[in-house]
Amino acid sequence: MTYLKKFSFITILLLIGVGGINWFIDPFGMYWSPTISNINKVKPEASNRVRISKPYRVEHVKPDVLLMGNSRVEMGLSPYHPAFEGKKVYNLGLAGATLHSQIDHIYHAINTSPNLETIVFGLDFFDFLVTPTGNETNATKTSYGHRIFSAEGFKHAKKRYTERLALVYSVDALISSLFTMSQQNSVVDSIGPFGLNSAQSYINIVKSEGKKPLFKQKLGFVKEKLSQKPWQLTSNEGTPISPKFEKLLELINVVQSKKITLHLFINPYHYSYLHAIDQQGYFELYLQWKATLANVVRDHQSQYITLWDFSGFNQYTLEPEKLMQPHQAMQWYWEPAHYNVELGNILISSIFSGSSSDFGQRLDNQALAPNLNTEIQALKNSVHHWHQLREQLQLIVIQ
Amino acid sequence: MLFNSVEFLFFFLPLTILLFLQIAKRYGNEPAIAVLVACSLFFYGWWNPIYLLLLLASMGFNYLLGGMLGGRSKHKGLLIFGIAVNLSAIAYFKYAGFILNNVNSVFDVDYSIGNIILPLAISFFTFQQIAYLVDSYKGITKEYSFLHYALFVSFFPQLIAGPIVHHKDMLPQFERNKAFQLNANDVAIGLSIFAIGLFKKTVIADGIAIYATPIFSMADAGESIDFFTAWGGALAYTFQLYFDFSGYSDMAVGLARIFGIVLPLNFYSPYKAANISEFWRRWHMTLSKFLRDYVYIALGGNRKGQVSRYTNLLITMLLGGLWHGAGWNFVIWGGLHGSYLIINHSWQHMIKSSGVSFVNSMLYRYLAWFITIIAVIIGWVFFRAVTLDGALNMLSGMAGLNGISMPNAIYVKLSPLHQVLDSLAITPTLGGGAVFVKTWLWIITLTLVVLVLPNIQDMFAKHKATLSTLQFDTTNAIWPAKKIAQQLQFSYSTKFAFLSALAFVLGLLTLNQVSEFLYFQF
Repeated sequence: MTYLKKFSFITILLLIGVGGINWFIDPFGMYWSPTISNINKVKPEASNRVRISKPYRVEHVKPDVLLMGNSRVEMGLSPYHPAFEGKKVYNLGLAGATLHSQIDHIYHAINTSPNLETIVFGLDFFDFLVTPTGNETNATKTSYGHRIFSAEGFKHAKKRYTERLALVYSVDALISSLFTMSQQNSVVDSIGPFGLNSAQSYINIVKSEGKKPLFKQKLGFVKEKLSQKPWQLTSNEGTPISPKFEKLLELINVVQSKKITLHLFINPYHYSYLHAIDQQGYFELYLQWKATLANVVRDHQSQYITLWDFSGFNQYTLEPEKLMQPHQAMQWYWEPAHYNVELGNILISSIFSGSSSDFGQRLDNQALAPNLNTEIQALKNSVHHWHQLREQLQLIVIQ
Repeated sequence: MLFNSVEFLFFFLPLTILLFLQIAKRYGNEPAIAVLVACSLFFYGWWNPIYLLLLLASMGFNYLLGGMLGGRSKHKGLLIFGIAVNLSAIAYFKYAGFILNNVNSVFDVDYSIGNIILPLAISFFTFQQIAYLVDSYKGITKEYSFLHYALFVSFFPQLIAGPIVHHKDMLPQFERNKAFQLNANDVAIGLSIFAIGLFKKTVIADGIAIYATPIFSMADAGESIDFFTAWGGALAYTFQLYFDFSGYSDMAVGLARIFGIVLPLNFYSPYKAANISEFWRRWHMTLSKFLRDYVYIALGGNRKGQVSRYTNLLITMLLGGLWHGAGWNFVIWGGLHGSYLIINHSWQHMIKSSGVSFVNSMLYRYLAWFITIIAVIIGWVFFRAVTLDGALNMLSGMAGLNGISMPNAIYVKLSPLHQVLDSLAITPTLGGGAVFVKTWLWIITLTLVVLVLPNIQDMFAKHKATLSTLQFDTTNAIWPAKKIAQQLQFSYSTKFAFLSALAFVLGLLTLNQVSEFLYFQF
C-alpha cells in the first residue's frame, strides 16, 4: 500500500473511531448512549456544557413537567421527586443564565414539548437587578438563539448542525471523553439524563478545603456584585416596570394562554446570603422585589399561576454553618446560595401538596405585608449569628 | 480564507489542486499557472474583495517598475520613487492611525481619518516587491513574465502570512520545463508537513491560548497579577505564539509542496537558541533576512565601526518592531531586541578577545539559553499586552512584586509544606486549582516539545522540505536528547502515515473552533 493510501485509510479509520468513542462515552450528556458503570455513567464534563446540551435534550425528552431556573434549581430540584410519579420531568436549570435566557429556554420547551403541563420556575433576586441605563434585550439571544428557535432559517440550522457535530467531532469532545473515563470513581459534578446536576464537587471541596472557602467565596461574590454598580429594579426613572418584569409578565401571559400551570418560587437563601445583601444596603430593594413579584402575580391571578416564597428565615435557612467542624457538610446547604436536593425535595412537596406547612408560603395579597415585616424582624434577630459567622470567616464586622 | 477552515480544506484546496493539475495536463504549464494565480486571487479576495484591487495594483505597478529598473532605466530616482510608493501605501493603511493618534496627543488636537481597515498581508506583499525593485535596480533580476511574477507575489500558501519569498528562489521553480503533474512523493510530503502544521496551530496554539488571553486581559485592565499567574500567562503566550507561527509556516511549506513548489525555511526551532542572534536566525527567518539585506546593510551594516554597527542594529530592530504592528509596545519590543542584540554582540566580542574557554562548556551554553529565553519572554510581554501599563503590570507580577499565591485547593493538598510555603510568602487564594494545574501541565509539556522534538526541516531534511540545508543543527543552540530526536526522520512508513493522519484528524477535529492566526494582519 502506498504512503498516501495508508494515510487516507488511517484518516478515515481514525475519524470513525473518534466519532464512535465520543458518541458512546457521550461526555456532555447529549446522546445518552448506553451507560455503563466505571466507563461512562458519571459525566463530569457535562456540567460545563449544559447551555449547549440541555436545549437539545429537552427537545428529545419532551417533558410533562419542566423545572427551570439557574444553578440553584439545576442542583436543588430533583426530577425524580415522588410528586412527579408517572410524569416525564426535565430539569432545564442553567447555571449563570440570565432571566431573559431562562424564559427563552422555557418557550423553547413549550414549543417542543406538546404534553408540557407544569413549569416550576425558581426566581432569583440578582436576576432582576438592572442598572439605570443598561438593560438586557433580546439582542443577547444571538448566543443561544440558534439552539432554541430551530425553525428559523438555514443559518440557525447550520449552526445547530455544526454545534451538535462538535459534541462528537472535536478535540474538546475527545479530551472530555478521556477525562470522563478517568473520572468515573471520583466525586465530581455530573449531569443526569433528566438534567439534574449532582453537585458532588461540593463534597470534594468540603472534604479537602472545608466549608470556609465556599462561604468566603459566595459572600465575597455578593459583596463584589452589589458594589459594582448602582443596582435597581426599574431601568429608568418613571418607568413603572423593568424589562425583567416585562419578560416575566410575557411568560405569564404565554402559559395562561396555553393553559400550562406555572409555579413561580423564590429560592430559599441561607440567612447569611440575605445578611450579605443587607450589608451592601440592598435588603430594602430585595423586599421591594418580592412585593413587585407578588403584585405582578396578583394582577394576573388565575388557576395557572402561583408564587411561592421559600426565602424567609426558618429552621432550614437558619441552618448553623458549624465552621468549627469544617469538613462536615451541612444538612440543607452546600454554601449560602445553593441548597441541596434534600431541601429541594421539601420545597417541591410544599408546592405540590398545596400546603405551606413549615416551609414556604404562597405569596398572595394577604400574605405579603406580614411576610415583609417578619423578614425585617428576622433579619434583626439573626444579626448576632451573622456577626459570629463573619468573625469565623475572618471578615471585618461592620457595626 | 484560513487554512484551518472548512471552506479551505474541503472546497478551495481540493478544487484548486484538481483544476491546476487538469489544466496542466490538457493545456500545459502556463495556463496552469494562470489558474493558480486566479485561485490565489480568489483566496485573497475571499476576505475582502475590494482589497483585491490594491493587490492587483501593487503587482502591476511593481512589475512595470521592476521591468524599467532592470532594463535601461537604471535611475536611482526611479527606485526611490518605487520604494516610496510602496511605503506610502503601507504607511497609509498600517500607520496613519497610529501617527495621527500620536500627533493628537502631542499637540492636543483631535484629527481623525476614520477607520482604516488594514488590508490582509500588505506588509508581506509590499516587502517582497520592494526587494524585487532593489534587485532589479542592482541587475539581479531576470526577465520574468507577468503571470509568473503575479504567482510569485500572490501564491496562496505564502501570501497572507509568509514566508517572505524572494524572486530568485521562486520564479525559477515556476519556469521549469517539465509539466506540472501530481507527484505522489510531493503530495505525501506536503500533506504530512501540512498535517503537522495544522496540529500545531489548531490543537496546540489554540489549546494553550485560553490560558494566556485572560491573564493579559486582566493585566491590561489594571488588575493585580500574582507571580504564578503572571508567569503562567507569559509562558502560555510564549508557546501560543511559537506554535501559531510555526504551525502556519509548516502549513505554508506543506501546501506549496503539494503543488511541487519548495518554499524557503521561515522557522527553525528558535526556542533552542542559546543567544539572541541565533534566536533571530531561527525566528521569522525570511523577515530577518529581509531586514538584514535591505535595511541593516543598506544603512551601512558593520562597515563603519562598532558604534555605527550598533546604531544600525537598533534602527533595524525598531523598524522590525514597527513592522509587526503600529503601536508603541511593538516599538519597545523592537528596541528591546535591538538592545539584546547589541549586548550579545558586545559580549561575543569580549569573550572572543579574552580567549576564555568556558564558552565551549555545556553549562555555559545552557546558562546562555536560559538568559536568552527569559529575555525573549520579557519581549513577548510587550508584544502581547495591549497597553504599556498592561505590559508593566505583567512584568511586575513576574518579578513577584504583587505577591506569590496559589489556589486554595492546591495549597491545602500541600499541607506538609505549609511552613516552607509560608516562609516563601506563598499564600492561598480562593478558588479551585484546575486552571492552575492545566496551565503548568501545558507549559511543562510544551517546553519539552520545543527543546527535544525535531522541526519539519529536520524531520524532512532528506526530502528537501524547504530551500534551506539546515539539518539537526545545534550551532549556538541547545538540544537535550538529540539522539532521540534524530530517530524521528520522515520515511514512507506506516508509522509516519499514522502519525501524520493522527495530526491531520486532530486538526480536523478543531474545525468547529476556528480562530484567527496571530501572525495574520501584518
